[in-house]
Amino acid sequence: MEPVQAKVAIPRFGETVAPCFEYSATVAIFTIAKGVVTDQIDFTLQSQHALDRVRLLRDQGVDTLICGGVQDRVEDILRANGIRVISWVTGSVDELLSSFIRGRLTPGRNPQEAPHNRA
Amino acid sequence: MQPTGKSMRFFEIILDSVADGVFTVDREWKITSFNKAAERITRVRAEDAIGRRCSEIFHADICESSCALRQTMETGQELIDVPARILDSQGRAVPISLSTAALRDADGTLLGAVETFRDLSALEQLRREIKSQYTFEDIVGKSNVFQRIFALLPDIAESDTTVLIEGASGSGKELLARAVHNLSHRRNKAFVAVNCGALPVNLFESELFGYAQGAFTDARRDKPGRLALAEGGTIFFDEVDELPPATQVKLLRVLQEREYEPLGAVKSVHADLRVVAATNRSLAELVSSGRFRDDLYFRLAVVRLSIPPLKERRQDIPLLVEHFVQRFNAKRGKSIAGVTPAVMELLMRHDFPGNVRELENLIEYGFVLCHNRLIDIQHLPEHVQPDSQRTTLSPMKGRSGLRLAEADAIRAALLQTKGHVEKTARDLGISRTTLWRKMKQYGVNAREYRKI
Repeated sequence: MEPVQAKVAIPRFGETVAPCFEYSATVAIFTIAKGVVTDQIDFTLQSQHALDRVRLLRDQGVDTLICGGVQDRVEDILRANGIRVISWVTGSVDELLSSFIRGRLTPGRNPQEAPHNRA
Repeated sequence: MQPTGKSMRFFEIILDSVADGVFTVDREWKITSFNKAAERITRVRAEDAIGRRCSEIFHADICESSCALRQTMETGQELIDVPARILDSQGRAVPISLSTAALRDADGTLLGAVETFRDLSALEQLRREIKSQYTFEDIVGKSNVFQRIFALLPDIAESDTTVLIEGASGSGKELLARAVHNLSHRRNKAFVAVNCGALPVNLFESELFGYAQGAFTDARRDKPGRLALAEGGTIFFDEVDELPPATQVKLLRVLQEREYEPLGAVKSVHADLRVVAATNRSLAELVSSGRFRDDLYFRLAVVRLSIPPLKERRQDIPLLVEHFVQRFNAKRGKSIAGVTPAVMELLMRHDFPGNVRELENLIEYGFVLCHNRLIDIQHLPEHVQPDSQRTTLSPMKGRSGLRLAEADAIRAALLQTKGHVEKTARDLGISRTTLWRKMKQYGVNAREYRKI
């Protein structure tokens, strides 16, 4: 059963998901309750150290990270810290979030496009 | 004049024969061409890349902040040798150097831009190895034990906590210690490694704490110790179980009071450093038997990281093989793709008494002998080859299985002790003289194990 409330982080570049989690300047953290976004906080990230970013997400109680590119090892560290990762997605933040709420977002898949091209 | 199909194909052939990655984008940042080298570096097929925005393929550190293609299209200026990092489709960071130029038609109308980029992974790998700048990228493992290490890493990196790393010889304790240092805020200061088993007991304290002029007969001037050299950084005590009892008390003071006195000095010196220690024995057992101070043990083991022997985490072997193949390709300028299924099967069944270091040595050995794309059984040292695959007669051939097992046991013990004959004899429960005799009999050279 899905939890009643979930926190979802999306590194953003304007209205779209940032190309890379480690290098994004902003991460938006959404609180979702009963399928509705009830809160959003944008964090401006100064440090480009991946572990600082993992700590931020963990300390903010983020359950799921939706992101574009992410280093394989950083993804391991995120998962080891209890954060579910839906990576290698592209597209607008709103559409990704909407797909996630509907339970239709999977790693490497853009909401409007064919499966992402992981070689 | 529009290029014809024939001339387009000609240009594609030229671009595909270039060693650097080359791609073009239109004014909407969509990729319009993507050469073979670009496919190799990004691990994305051209057919999958064409038509997508370049940031969706490259995931570069400069995409958001200072996109080189955008600058070129906005200003018309060429950019040359811009350093950047991209992610390939497997999630590996690839350092590159890139150059950009605007593409215009005969009337000067902007069509888009072209970017060439060069893979600098091999260079960076060598630089990191020379400087031992290991980070979490070098900690290779997906097994449960590494999940625990990964879970702790963000906190270990942020804090100044003392870390105790436990693991058998060759399991990668020093690499992990260096990663802990390089992830911490002390990363720009020194990392000083002290092998407690290698320093003579009577010199230990002067080496560690340094001495003041006149402390003893030949002390003609002040000499800083390893602690002073590590000031602001990290000091790593390898084989901490070998720490002499008298030094254990003094190290405890360093950990508790953050100060120490160089030999012969009248004033205490403040120590601003982090301590990371490693051991291949159970410190808890040494504490129980009274051979290691319990108060020091508890100070050292604030965070304990345990690396099990490789044979207990066999699922990591394929990852490690891939890691070492990449590393030796960079070091030796080769392009070996990996190992054959037969070699992988053999490695998965091997017991690796020498742990990750032994696996690394096997792959390095394979790199010397292999002149094809894949390392095969015949490229491995004879002692790991199945009997039927051995190409030459082993000196052990024809002797009894018992003696073969005895020779193997000696080799395994030498691997564990890094060729330390006295320790090996102790571990095997035989005298040093007997060990020398048996080593001579089986053609085993302890010196070879000191290089491993």
